[in-house]
Amino acid sequence: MLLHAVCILAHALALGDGGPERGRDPWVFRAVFEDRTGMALVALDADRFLAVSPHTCWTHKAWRGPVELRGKVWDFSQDNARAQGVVLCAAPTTILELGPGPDAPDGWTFDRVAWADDAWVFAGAGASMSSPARDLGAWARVFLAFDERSRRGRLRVEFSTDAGASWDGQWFGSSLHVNSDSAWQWNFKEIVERGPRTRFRLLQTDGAHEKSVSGIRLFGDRPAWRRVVAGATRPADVRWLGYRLTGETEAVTFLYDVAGAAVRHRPEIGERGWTETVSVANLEPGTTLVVRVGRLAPGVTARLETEAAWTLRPAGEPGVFDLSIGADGSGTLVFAEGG
Amino acid sequence: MVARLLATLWTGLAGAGEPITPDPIGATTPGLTVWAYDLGEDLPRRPVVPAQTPTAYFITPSVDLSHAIESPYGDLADMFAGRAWGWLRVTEPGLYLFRLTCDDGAALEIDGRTVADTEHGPGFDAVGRAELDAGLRRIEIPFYENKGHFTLRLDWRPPGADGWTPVPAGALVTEAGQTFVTAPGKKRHRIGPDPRPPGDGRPLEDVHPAFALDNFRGPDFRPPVGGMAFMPDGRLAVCTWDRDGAVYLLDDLHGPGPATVSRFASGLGEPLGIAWHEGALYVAQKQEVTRLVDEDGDGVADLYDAVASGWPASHNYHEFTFNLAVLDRRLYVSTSVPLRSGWTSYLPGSHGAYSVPDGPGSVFEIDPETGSWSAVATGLRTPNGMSVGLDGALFGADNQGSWLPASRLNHITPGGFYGHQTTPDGDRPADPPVVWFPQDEIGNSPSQPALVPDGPYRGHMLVGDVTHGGIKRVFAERVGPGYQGCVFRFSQGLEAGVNRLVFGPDGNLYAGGIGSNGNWHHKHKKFGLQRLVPGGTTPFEILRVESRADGFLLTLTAPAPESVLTDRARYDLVQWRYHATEGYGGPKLDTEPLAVDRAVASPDRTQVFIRVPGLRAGRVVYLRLRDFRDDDGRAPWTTEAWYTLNTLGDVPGPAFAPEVRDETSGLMRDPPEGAVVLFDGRDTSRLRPRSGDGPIAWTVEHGTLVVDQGAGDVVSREHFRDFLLHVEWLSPPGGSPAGQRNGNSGIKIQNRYELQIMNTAGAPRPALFNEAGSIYRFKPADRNVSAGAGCWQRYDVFFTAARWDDAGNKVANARMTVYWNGVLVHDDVEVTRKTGLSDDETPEPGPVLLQAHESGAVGDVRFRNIWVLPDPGRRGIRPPTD
Repeated sequence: MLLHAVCILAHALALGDGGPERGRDPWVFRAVFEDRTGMALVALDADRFLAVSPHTCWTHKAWRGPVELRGKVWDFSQDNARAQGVVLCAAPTTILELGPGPDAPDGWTFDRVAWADDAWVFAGAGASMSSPARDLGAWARVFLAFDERSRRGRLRVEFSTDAGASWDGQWFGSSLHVNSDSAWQWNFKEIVERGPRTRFRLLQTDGAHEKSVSGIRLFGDRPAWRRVVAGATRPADVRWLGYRLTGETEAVTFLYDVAGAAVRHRPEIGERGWTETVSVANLEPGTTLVVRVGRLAPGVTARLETEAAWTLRPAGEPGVFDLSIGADGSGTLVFAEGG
Repeated sequence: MVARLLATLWTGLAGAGEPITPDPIGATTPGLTVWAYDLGEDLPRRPVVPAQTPTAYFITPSVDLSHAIESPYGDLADMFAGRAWGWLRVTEPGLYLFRLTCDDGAALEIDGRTVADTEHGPGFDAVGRAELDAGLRRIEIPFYENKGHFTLRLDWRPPGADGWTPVPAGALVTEAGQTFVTAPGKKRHRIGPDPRPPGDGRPLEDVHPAFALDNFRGPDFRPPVGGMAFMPDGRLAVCTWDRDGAVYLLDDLHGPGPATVSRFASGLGEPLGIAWHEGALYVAQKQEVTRLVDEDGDGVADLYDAVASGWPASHNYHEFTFNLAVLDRRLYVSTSVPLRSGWTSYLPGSHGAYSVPDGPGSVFEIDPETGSWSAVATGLRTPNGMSVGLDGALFGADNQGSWLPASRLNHITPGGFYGHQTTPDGDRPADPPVVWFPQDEIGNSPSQPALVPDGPYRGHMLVGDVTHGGIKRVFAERVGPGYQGCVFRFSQGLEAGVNRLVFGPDGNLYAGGIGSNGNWHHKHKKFGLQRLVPGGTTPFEILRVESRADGFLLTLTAPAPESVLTDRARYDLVQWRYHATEGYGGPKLDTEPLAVDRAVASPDRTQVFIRVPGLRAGRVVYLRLRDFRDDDGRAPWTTEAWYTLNTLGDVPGPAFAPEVRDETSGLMRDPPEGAVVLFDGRDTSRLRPRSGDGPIAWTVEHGTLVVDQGAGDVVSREHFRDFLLHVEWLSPPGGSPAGQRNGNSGIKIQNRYELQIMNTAGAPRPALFNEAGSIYRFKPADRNVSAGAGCWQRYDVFFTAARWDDAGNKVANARMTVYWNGVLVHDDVEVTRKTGLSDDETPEPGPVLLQAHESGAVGDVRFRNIWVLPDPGRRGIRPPTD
């Protein structure tokens, strides 16, 4: 019967021009989601989803609305899945983004690069554009992505860790193979040399003809877990251990090792939102774990229900909280929409 | 008729005779896909282009092509063919008129029916009509251009229209997300029907005759198989590369109905490998190996235990985690490189050239106890298929593309590097492959190898192929520092491209199919699960091609007439080399034909050695048999072999002696009346260990007695005085003559006088006094008639025991007359003493001893058909004379 239902679903998905839709089977599934590998997506109910990151061992995003399911097994595309609808909670991921239009935010500088035809167009060899400085030290993983057009000319992407005083950090060249002069081609690179005052610049190194870029985006993951020992705070080592399902769709419990402690994390549908129950065992005495919760969308609230000596406090950014865990125990984060 | 033929031929691009999937999967994009093929020869009419990688691959918004077609390898202006395909979006049902224009030739097919064909009329146009329902209608336009101006255009008159207009872009759709993979070089084609039978220069069509195809899955179970593994209880676990990311358990595999299916797990991310290990199912998904545990016993996994995860990978769609092989309590997966527009996605710079360094294109070794992982081999591109194969080693396939001029089968070793450079200017030398799979000839997307456990192909590896389809057979041998060997066509006739192969505990070969859009498929099928049941007839074909210093030793599955085997004109050979570049695939370089200057057949006519001057190491050698027949008049199942000659060995080919026919020699192969049969292919009860009285520990395989070096010599239970001995033996290749470790064994007459057995090369060199044919260290054979290593040979020995008086004094020496492969090599030789470490001479009769000598050869010495006829003289049987 179940198999039959799966077949019907698969058949339904095979038709139509748009991206496939899905029901709740499977209700916990892995996908490349928003440019992140191995993400675990949970269909809390028919239109409420939550994505858990195996890289940060915490909630990446919660939203109300469908998932745009893209990728080889979904629609054969080379894209990947993304949340659609109303985002309720999302861990900060964007560090720097240069949106469309000629009005670049403060800090960007341009040398013979101008906005034209929906892109930043380089005037030839030596033309460059540079980003403002950002603190990348607190990020666990950072990636630079941008789209590139024209087979003529190449770019060199350079990083500075001293706010542009020198450009001898990480560098890479743009693509060797761009299919045509008119088609956009994406580029994507992990940035491993980074510091508190990191800038990058795109420099056309050869070619007299115009090279174009767009969609420049620096993004990544911030560590969700920190470890406080004797007043010193450091990112906690985390290890993804998988998950346990209860019943057909009753519950899913994610399993992590955080600084040696056994952490269980169970998201569930709630009365006006959702809940995330956390239990911790084997926490090293004298250690406090702090997990960053949020950022919550406006109108979404969070509170903690626990009998343990745990606290949930604002973290200094709107909609962002720190859950402090000073001892073994459990607690439930209750998230509600509409206040 | 022509139209029907054309329709058949063009569906042959992806596999003949199968219905085409009517609907695209998932998202679509406007336009039609165009595949164009550089043919490079004059085209008098529309050619047939078998399935192969196109020269140009693009999406056109409308059918209005002219002038030349752009390709990465230069524009296609003349002498090319192509095919535009996709779907016609019909919003209003009714009668549609179509006008197809092409200056040389094209046809319009809608839902598999030819609507217009420009080669049917005098002009460049063809007009046709079709009554179409609303919806997406499959459209195909095969075309070709010979010389001059090129035009291809499609106009229509929808219902109610009063004039011709181009079919608008909005009415044409094709699959989104295609990877535009192209390859240079002239493409194979033909004009008109192919006169060759399947398997002779073109793909097979049917299932290998040694197997019967069994459709054991129910029609509702349609898995795109990402992995298969058998569980100890006989159930088959199948993981699926689809939206469900599921693991299914198949039970009742041999019941009267289809196998039963239950879903054990789901939601896995592109699972492409599965294994049973230490009491649990493990599955490889993208960037993770997961142990699946059913904790509550309800038949469904509850715990998805991430055993190991997080090896470097980006979100690129092509960074798969493939396979899950288990070897020595370690798990192995492999990863592929990121692609962009068919090219490897490089961004070279200070920290590697991949988007995420140090992960793509690697084999990762995983310790399931600790979850630790490390890359143990690199330089892979799309290593979809890896398993434990020959000699318990890891073997893995890799798919052609950048840095891979053709697909490869690799022997995976620690520190191995297999050719795909990690930077676009890389020049690290690659470990040679076990075999190359020349593109479009014998493979396009090789997948999982499976070691054949039994039967005539035992020790060979069968390799599936996702887009070329079917199963290829690889015979590998160690020559010099590593494995090399040859690949043969083996089987087609399966329902989909083969992604996974595994032999079940029932001895059946299970084939899992997969496919996707674009050209990632065979026969347009995206799923499949069948099994091949052994038990059919072994066809006549080349069983092995083994390299020798001066040619190749071919072993056939059945004897063929000597006149066929020794006819040098029946062997076509071509050699070439590859040079890896960053470009997709690669042409053959330094292609040169080779000629056979000597062909000699083994006495049993199942082997032939062809001497081939001009062979060079580092080449692929293509061999095709022409007009071959076996003794029963059967044509070969497949005539071709592709041998990857990494190293030219230093062992010359056997100089088979001319067959001396038994009917002329007077020798007998079958035991005559009164003979004591020591081994008839099955029964070993007339033998015992030299020290002991129990059964022997040597094994019987395929009717042959396999020497077990560790188990020691065996002797006949019965003792003999004067007798005729017939024995057939095979000494495998390899091993060192130093220390006599080259396939050494022997026959000790009365356990006193040894006839040496060894893989001695044949004439013209003489055989020495301690080599095959000799009375060991007493007298060499008068003539070297060795058939060489790996060939069955025989001795016929007329033995007269020493004579003794009543006081125990020897009064006459033993005498031996020996025929080696039917040729007299010891003529009534007086043997004055025992040989080697043998029993002393006494008046007592003695046994026949089969020696278990230390050997470093590749494989074991084997015996068959051993019998002793006591007192032949009294029976009137004497050595034959010339």
